[in-house]
Amino acid sequence: MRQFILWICGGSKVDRRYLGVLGLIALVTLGLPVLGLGPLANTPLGLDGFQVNLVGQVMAFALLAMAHDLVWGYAGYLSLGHGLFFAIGGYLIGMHMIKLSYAGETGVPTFLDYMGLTEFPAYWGGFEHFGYAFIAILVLSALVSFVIGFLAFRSRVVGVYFAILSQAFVYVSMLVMSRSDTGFGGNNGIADFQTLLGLSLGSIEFRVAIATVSALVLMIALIGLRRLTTGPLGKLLIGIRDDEDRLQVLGYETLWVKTGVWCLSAMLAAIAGLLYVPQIQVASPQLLSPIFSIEIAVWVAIGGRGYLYGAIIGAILVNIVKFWLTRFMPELWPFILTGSVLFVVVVLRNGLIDPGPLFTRAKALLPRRLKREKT
Amino acid sequence: MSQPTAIYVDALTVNFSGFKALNNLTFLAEYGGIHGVIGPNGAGKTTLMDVITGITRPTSGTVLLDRKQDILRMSLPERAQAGIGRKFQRPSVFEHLTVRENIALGVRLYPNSLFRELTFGEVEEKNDRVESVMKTISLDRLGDVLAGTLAHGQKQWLEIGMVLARDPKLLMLDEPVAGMSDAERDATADLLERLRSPVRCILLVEHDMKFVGRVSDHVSVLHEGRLLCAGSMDRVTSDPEVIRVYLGR
Amino acid sequence: MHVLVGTVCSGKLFFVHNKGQVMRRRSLNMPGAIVRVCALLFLAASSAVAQPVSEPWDMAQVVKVWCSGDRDARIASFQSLLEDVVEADGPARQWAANLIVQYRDGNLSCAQDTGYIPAGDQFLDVVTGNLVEVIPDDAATPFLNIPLRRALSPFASAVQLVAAEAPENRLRAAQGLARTLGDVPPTLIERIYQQEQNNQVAAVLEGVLVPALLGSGDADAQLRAINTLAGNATRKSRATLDNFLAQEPAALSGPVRTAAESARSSVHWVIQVSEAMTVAYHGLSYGSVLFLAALGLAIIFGLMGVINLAQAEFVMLGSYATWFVQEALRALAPGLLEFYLFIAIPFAFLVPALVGAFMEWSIVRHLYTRPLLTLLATWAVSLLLINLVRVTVGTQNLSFLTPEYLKSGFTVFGEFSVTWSRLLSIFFAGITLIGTLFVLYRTRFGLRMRATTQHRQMAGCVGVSTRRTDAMAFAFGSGLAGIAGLALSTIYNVNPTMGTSLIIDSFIVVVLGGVGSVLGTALAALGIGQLNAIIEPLYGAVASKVIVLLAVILFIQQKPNGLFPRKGRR
Repeated sequence: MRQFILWICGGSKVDRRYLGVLGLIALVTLGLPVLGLGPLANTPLGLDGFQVNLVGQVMAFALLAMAHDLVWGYAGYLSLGHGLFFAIGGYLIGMHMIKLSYAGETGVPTFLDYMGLTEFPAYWGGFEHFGYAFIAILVLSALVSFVIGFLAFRSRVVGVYFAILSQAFVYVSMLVMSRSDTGFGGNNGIADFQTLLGLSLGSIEFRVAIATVSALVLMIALIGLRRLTTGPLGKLLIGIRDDEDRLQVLGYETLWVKTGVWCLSAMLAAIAGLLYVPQIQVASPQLLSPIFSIEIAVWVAIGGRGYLYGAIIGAILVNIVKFWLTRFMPELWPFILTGSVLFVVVVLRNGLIDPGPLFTRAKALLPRRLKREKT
Repeated sequence: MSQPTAIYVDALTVNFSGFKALNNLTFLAEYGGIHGVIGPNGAGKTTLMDVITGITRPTSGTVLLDRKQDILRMSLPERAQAGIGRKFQRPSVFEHLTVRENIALGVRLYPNSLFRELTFGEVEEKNDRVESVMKTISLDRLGDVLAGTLAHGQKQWLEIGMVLARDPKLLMLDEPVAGMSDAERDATADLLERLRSPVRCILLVEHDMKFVGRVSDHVSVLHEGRLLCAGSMDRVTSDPEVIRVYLGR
Repeated sequence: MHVLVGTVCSGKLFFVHNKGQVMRRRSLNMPGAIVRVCALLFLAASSAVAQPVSEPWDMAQVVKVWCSGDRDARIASFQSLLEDVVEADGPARQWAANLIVQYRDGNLSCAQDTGYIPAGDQFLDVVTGNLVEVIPDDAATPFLNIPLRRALSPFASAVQLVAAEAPENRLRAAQGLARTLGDVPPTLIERIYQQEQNNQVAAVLEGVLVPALLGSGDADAQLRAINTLAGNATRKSRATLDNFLAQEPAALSGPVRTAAESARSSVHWVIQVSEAMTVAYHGLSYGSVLFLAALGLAIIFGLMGVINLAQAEFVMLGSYATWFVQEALRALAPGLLEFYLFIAIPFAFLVPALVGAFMEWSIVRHLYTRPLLTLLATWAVSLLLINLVRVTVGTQNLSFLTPEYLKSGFTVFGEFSVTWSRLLSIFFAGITLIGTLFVLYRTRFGLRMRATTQHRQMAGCVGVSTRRTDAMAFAFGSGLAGIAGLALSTIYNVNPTMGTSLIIDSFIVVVLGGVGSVLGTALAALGIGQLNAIIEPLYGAVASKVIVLLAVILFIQQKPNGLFPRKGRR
């Protein structure tokens, strides 16, 4: 048993916090089908369709945050454009679902009809198969991230430059996809999905299924990334972060390491998109909004970067608060977001995972008498 | 029986927006010894090392390894694979890794394939090599200490160890004893003696004349980007030009 | 003549208004038009003699033809009348103009070889010039069917063209001719054109003349028309020449064709040059805006390694401050409203500067060693500013009045005209560039800033208070953004989210120009502005953004530190 736990922790030490978060996700994975489909469903003790959907979306966001943390927390590059890969996954799975809706029929969806097309263009071919769509998602996200990463890393674009360039990429992509003549529905995006993998998108079975799958994928990805980052690759990443020149002079082609990690992160983000879009039933340029991409970084910053599970915690917390606030007090949400970011960045420094700085400051403010009593 | 010249630098010029850090420098160093490189500040010593490792691009000139490999065409990691190792001027260790992990990064069982290194590289052979290097640099009892917590001198040794792990044929040390106490200097001199090998050329850039005189076989004096004088320590220190440049007389 | 016109006109008015009482055939005209024409003719006739003038035409003959039913004869008579009118003097011209108008409006009654037009209560015999009380019972108004009326109208306009003294009337007449030239001979128009003094009227006449001459088939006339076109380098003249040249080769004689071709190429060249100049000008003005927005960013980034994502919101604050100044002036000192742009300068600078200083003190100074976190923190502040403005002022676009002195522009060359509002932004950018260079290189504050940028620790060691310098530099950079907002306010939409696209563009400018370099920022802004101005009209705004981004990325591959990198060792 201990061996198993050590293996999950990816090394020699038992990391309680990591196991705690992992356990939480496992609980969600088990709880969703039980509470969503079982006899307790739709009761105050169980979950109704809306809540299941919410949990599923948050799981997808958590995966996205973790993908982001891999690059920021471990390789040291702040990406403010991860929405691009998220959107790749989202749009491509959308294409698959559209093809399913139109299987066996002639005619095309409105957004293609609007452009004067009577048939699906050539690049839609093959998307009626889930496997093809899945592979396409991985390939396209890897390709796009490879091009961006290679160009950026090769010219030693770092830090702030990299961050803003990634913003520029996602912003420009949003502009392009918002045009109605790009063939993806312009501002409104693509919708009219009906089924996925045999289940109707609106049914409770599907909602529970996809939410559970999201949680499961998150769990597997967490374990996988954990093992990856506690292994030799993790050391390499730390080396790159600490002193890349040194590593290069030692003979390491850091370009490939960085690009490889970047592409892996992109593929994970695309998978998160694949899990997300069927749950909101539309793939629109909202996914490419520059603000959304910055929010991803905010989730990781608030949770604590460099831990993987910190990003998950951050994503879960922020999105639950966001969902709750936008339902009851929408005006307040931007201010809460601003306040949290400033609080975490200025006071906490390392995110919620590491509340140390908060306590050291609080201690400094404690009256003298109390402090002396402590010793 | 003579080895080819380890490193041969020909007419090397490095121009930093009008300031010539290296000015048509010609320089060579042989295998089997420790070759000191000295000179006043701004003479170009560190720039020379930067060019050889690949951090700085020269404006013109050639650098040949073993008199046949044009290393200026190679990327930084390729040069390391060709056998060039360098300890930087300020101690550059990976602060968040342990001593053992630092040195392990220096060992490459599969120098040509990073992928294989990552998947198959965690083996006993590597650990053995790490242990032997740690012994050489006398840090074998500090194996699991975070490098960031080491003392300045220990960091210098650790860095030497990292570079040594790959068994380089050209080992360049940039001010290895800067900021060290006398005892540490002695220990470093001993270390360098241990590192001497007929198939290795050690380039030593230092300001501490005593130290240089103690360990070097040959010394080259650089001044304003040129080679001023070369030879044994005694010969060089009695050269009138050198005296003028160093002492201003 | 004066009295005549007056009586005629008042009689006409009288006539029109006394509906039931007059046993005349009603004419199909509008009282308003009559009033206008009459009033103007009245004014025009102010120096005229009150008696029938010496007409250089045979009035009796004219009346005879006009009273006949012969269409062609009538048109010929209009033509000859016009010819005579062109030769005649002022009073005769006005008399003719009046005559034609009366005829056109059906007020000429024909009887016994003469014609009568109303003159007050009486009638004027146009041949003899006598006033009579009543006209013979057998007098009849010649019928002007619609085609004839249509044929007559251009002649009436042409006569008015020579007769009217006020330029507005002639302009109206010329425009009428531009709509229909009818059978008016182009050569006559040419004579009228040559006599015309007013530029506006002449321009309209040119527009009438040129196609007429070109279509006349007479080589000389065509050559004259081509010359006129050659001197007038507009797209319209080029199109006219193109149409002309597109005719059957046989239709044009050799010299005419050559002349037309050479005219066309010279016009075309002028148009191309002016189009290029327009593009350059637009690029310059957009580049000025970019420069203003990016300069503060470059200074702060160069000095502190901090990217201020809220910079665009400072631009927005500057615009809003300008608006508040405008509203305040409107309420308190409307007389100064025209100059609100200049009065707002200190406010547009200070408001963002103060906000920036506060932001630096409360947030940024804690984060100097952590630029990525600073990025997020400044983003949070930008979000805060957007939402604060949104909930206080609202999301609507603010309206700015364009002062009189900014309203128009002037044509410089060909189709290239300079508009004042764009010139203002260029002006602001120029002033800001000079001002910033002055501050940086000629003041102690600038010296401290540069020292801290180049070597923070050393600057601290020699006694420069890096804390104060940072704070003031941050405020300075933010203030510059406010000025950008001021310059932008009359050109672009001002609303809480106006900054979003600006921040990315500004950052690209900073990256391209080299961090911390004022000249680099200026050049980069200019370059990107030009690139944008060239691409956007061809491929649209989105494509131009994409292309600019790609171009900059490719450039960075070659020169990773921008156009003006910081010199020295690594």
